[in-house]
Amino acid sequence: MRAPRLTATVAILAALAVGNVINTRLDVNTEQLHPVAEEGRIGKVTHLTYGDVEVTDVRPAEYVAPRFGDDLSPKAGGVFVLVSVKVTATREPTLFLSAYLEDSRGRRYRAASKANCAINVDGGTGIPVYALFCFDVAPQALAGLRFELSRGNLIYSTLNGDHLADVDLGISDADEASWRDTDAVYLAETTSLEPFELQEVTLDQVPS
Amino acid sequence: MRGFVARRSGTQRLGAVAAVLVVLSAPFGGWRSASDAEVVPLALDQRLDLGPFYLTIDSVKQVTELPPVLEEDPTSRYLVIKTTVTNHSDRAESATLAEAAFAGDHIGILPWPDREDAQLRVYGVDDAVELPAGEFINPDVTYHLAFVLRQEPDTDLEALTLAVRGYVFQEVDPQTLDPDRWVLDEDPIAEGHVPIEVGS
Amino acid sequence: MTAPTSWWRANRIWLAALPVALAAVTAASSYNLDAWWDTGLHRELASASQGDFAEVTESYDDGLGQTSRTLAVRLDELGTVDTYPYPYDDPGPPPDGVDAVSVRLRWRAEPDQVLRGCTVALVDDQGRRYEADSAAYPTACVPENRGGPTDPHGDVGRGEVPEGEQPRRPSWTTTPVVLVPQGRTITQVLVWWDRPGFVRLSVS
Repeated sequence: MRAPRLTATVAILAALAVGNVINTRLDVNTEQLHPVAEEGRIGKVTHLTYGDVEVTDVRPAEYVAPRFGDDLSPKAGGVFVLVSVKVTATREPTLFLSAYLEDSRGRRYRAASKANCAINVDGGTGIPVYALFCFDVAPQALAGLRFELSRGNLIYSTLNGDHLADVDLGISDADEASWRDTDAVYLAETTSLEPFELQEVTLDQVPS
Repeated sequence: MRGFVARRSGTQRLGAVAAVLVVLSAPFGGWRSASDAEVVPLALDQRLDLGPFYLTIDSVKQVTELPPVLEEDPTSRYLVIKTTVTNHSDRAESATLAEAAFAGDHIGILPWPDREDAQLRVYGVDDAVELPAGEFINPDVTYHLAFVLRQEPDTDLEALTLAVRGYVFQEVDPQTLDPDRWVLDEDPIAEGHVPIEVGS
Repeated sequence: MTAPTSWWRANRIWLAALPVALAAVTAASSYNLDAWWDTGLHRELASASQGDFAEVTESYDDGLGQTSRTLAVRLDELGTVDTYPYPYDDPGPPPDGVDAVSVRLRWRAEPDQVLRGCTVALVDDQGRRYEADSAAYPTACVPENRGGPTDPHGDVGRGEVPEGEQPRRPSWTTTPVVLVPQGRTITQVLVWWDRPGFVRLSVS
């Protein structure tokens, strides 16, 4: 009897195909579930379900000088974008692990490790933490940059479905034109329980 | 073989056909063909497309010291490969991708006294700052990077060759569940001997 | 000869089992649910009011297998102090608008019980949770330099006190300090070692 065998074969192949489609489309390891963006603007508090985020300042720099020691100052390949933020966990101690920039084309930028600024924010409940994030950005991508911050982990892509602060840094085309030629040098900051003022310095040594 | 197949029942033959179809059919992953480009001779000022990055070797020098970052050491020399690296992809990529692209022959490589794991040390040419492990290069950003290795003082520089490999973009890696990765290609994009300046 | 049985009737047992099977499959693949349970505070081990001891027994796994800890803990008093032991800085006053809240706890346990590595937290009347920084207070639950045994590891077996240290006394006091914004009303103190189990001490 051919019909039952043929049916069985087709059924098996169909089940395999459906299973593969399900595994590919619903793969929990990919970022299929995008974070939920809470839009904000510089100078205003963005309220997330688990914390408050405020970008207090953004400015360009050519170099970011290390706070301590005689180490050399890293130079931006493009322009350093220095983003000062005030972050408060509101319900329980929270590690704000993913901080990145997104440009007007939707491309993502990671913080520059060599600049020795903040990497993430570890917030005690109700205790504001002040942090400086430093990003190296190509000069033609400055206008329209947005700062993104959430709990999720960039490495393991656990931003799935989480609430994300999506802050417009207010960098205009005119800003971009003047920022690309910046020669400003600031001292690096990481995180602090006290607010900080960025300190501009002059470099007294240029490497050979 | 014919006898073997003839003795299988209809069900078994159908099953075998189904198995072959499963293996070959594209919806189940298939195979991604690696790039088949030919290897070109390595040269200075030649822009190579590694996949995520453009890489150009600007110069190769052998020096006895590299101020302000490396002191003179009579038991070794430093081979300094100065490059220009641009991330031309749409997302931040690890600088390690540029580092791992390099290979070579007759290098006379020596380990670094303070770092057993590294063969190449990476410095910014414009700031002399050593690139931290795990540093990312953002989209459209260009760095001038010096890749430095330590070598025997009597290395025959005429025999020394370098190779640069590229990467293939892998959307899904079924083994690691780590999607959207650049995987190092086995075959180099360019290899050969380039002129090596000998400095003080 | 009776009429042919309908497909539904012939398969009624399997159809009844189908929803059960689907539920089982979903539960089996819901490792995310497991993770949510394990990392939260979901199982109250014991509770007591301020001034009374909570008697606690918790089963857990260490490097050698299953074991348990038995102890009693009492909330004596909450207070405020002038300086906070910042983990990477000199001790100093808390930030503006923030109190350094001290939590005095009285403990009783056999000297061989592993009680290191706990977390002490305060909960306010809106359910917000404030934790003692484990970098500032690695010994929130045991006396410094006399904390008793560590978890077994390497050559170190169960119940072994670190070299050079005296065994822990059967009763002691700790006073971890927690940063809490001013104006919050603390209603509970929580103590835990391995989530999801925790001890609840209510503030009177």
